[in-house]
This record gives sequence, structure tokens and C-alpha cells, in this order.
Amino acid sequence: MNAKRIATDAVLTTIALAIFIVELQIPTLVPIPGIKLGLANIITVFAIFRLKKTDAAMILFLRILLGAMFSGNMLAIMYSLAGGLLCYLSMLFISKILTERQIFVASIIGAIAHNIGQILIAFLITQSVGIFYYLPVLIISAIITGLFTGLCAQYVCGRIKNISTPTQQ
Amino acid sequence: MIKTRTWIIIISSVFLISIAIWCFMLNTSHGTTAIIEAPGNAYHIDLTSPDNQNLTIEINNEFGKNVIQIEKGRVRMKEADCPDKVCVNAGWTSSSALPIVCLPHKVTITIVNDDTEIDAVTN
Repeated sequence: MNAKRIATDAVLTTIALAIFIVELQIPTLVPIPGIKLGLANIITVFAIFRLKKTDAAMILFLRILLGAMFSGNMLAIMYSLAGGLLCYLSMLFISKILTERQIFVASIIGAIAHNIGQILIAFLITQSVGIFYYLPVLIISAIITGLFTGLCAQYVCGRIKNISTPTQQ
Repeated sequence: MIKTRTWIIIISSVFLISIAIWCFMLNTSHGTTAIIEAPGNAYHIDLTSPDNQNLTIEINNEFGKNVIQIEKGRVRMKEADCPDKVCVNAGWTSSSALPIVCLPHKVTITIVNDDTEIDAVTN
């Protein structure tokens, strides 16, 4: 693991963490647990498409871990980890069949997987079947926020073609 | 490779189907029984019964305190000392499509109809 790779991962983790912390300051618009913009997902999508899969996993995992520590909400880490894992796996899988102009699709599918992961953990913790009533509204919100963050990620990917070697001017 | 247009169609259909299911749930899900579940205890409360028109239930557990209020056939989380207050902000509900959940305290309020079989599933 060379210095360049460490630096790249560290910078992306820092950016993701900063986005995550700033997003926490935005008040929740809907009184339903689990609905948020998920802006930090922009970095995850970027990492999936532009870096090795181990780097993307590390950035995501570190962001979740440090994000929980910095926000002081360690209880939420179970939700974040389950959502993050499902989101990562589904985006990794779907990214194999997507072109450069379809990056937003990966983000939408990742957001849906993230919310499904969270609802499964919420079910395991509360043992209440009623929690699945939230599923349609969480899918609706995942598609809207996933589209938004996905388009952001697609523009970022369009600007930064190759992060591992210096760009030739 | 699947065309971008195909992806947009797939995602739009999932979106519209979810909205349709959600609207359907909102319109058909007026319930008469509130099921309150918390670690260690569960309550089944008939929202239509005259005895339950001015009822306050206090739940104290190792995670914190929740106060649930029942009035005019509807239910809300009146107070909670959880950090996010999502449950309190949810307001009143009498629809099974809008359960109230306090994730930090593991308290859920779901609404069911007495004549549905959901009771058998949730016990």
C-alpha cells in the first residue's frame, strides 16, 4: 500500500466525514426515522467507480465508525453499518453493468439497499412487524435522495477521471 | 449494457409502485387498536372504547422515558427523553400506515384493525 493510495483514501474519508457531520446539522424534514439526504454517499459512489473495491470499503467503514464517534451517537452505528454494508455490496454488484453515464443508478439502488438494511436492523431491535409499514415511504425517499446524490457523484466522476495517477495536462 | 432509458423506466416504475402502495395503505389503514411495544411490556388498547378517550401511558425502561397519549381514537407520543424526538414530532396517528417509532428507546406504536389477522402475527 503506497503513500499515494493512503493519502487518497484519507482525503476521501475526511471529505465524507465532513459532509456527514454537516448534514447532521440539517433538521429532519419528515418525522420518520431513517429519512435523510445521505450526502456522504456521493463519496462512496465515487470510490466504487474510481478506486479499488477494498479502498471503497475502507472509506465507507471508517466514515461510519468516525461519524458515529464524532456525532456522539454510537447507538446508531448498528443501523449505519447494516445499511452501509448492503449499500456497498449492491453498488459494487450493479457497478459492473453500468456505464459512465449511468452512475446515478448505482446510487439509487445503493440508497434503497441502505434503507432496507436499516429497516431490517430496526426490526431485529424492536421486534415489531409494524416497522415494515415504513418500507414504501423509505423506498420513495431513497429514490429521490439517491437520484440527487447519484447525479452529484456522476458529475464528480466526470470531472475526476483518474485519481490514482496525476492527470496529464 | 442496459440503456439509460431502460434504467429510468425501471426506477420510475418502482417509484410509482411505492407511491401507489403508500397511498393505498394511507386510505385503507384506519385502525381501531393500538399496539404499544416496549422492551418487557406490550399493550393492546382499543381506541374506540369510551374508557380509553383520555388515557396516558408512561413507559420507563433502561433506555429512557416515553409518555403516550390516547384521545379521540388516535394516539401520539406526548413526551420522550430520546435525543432525536422523531417519535414526538410524528404527531397524532390512527393509521397503520403511520406507525410511531422511538428507535433509541425501542418503543413502537402500531395501529391495527381488530378484524385483521395482523394481531395473530404480532401477538
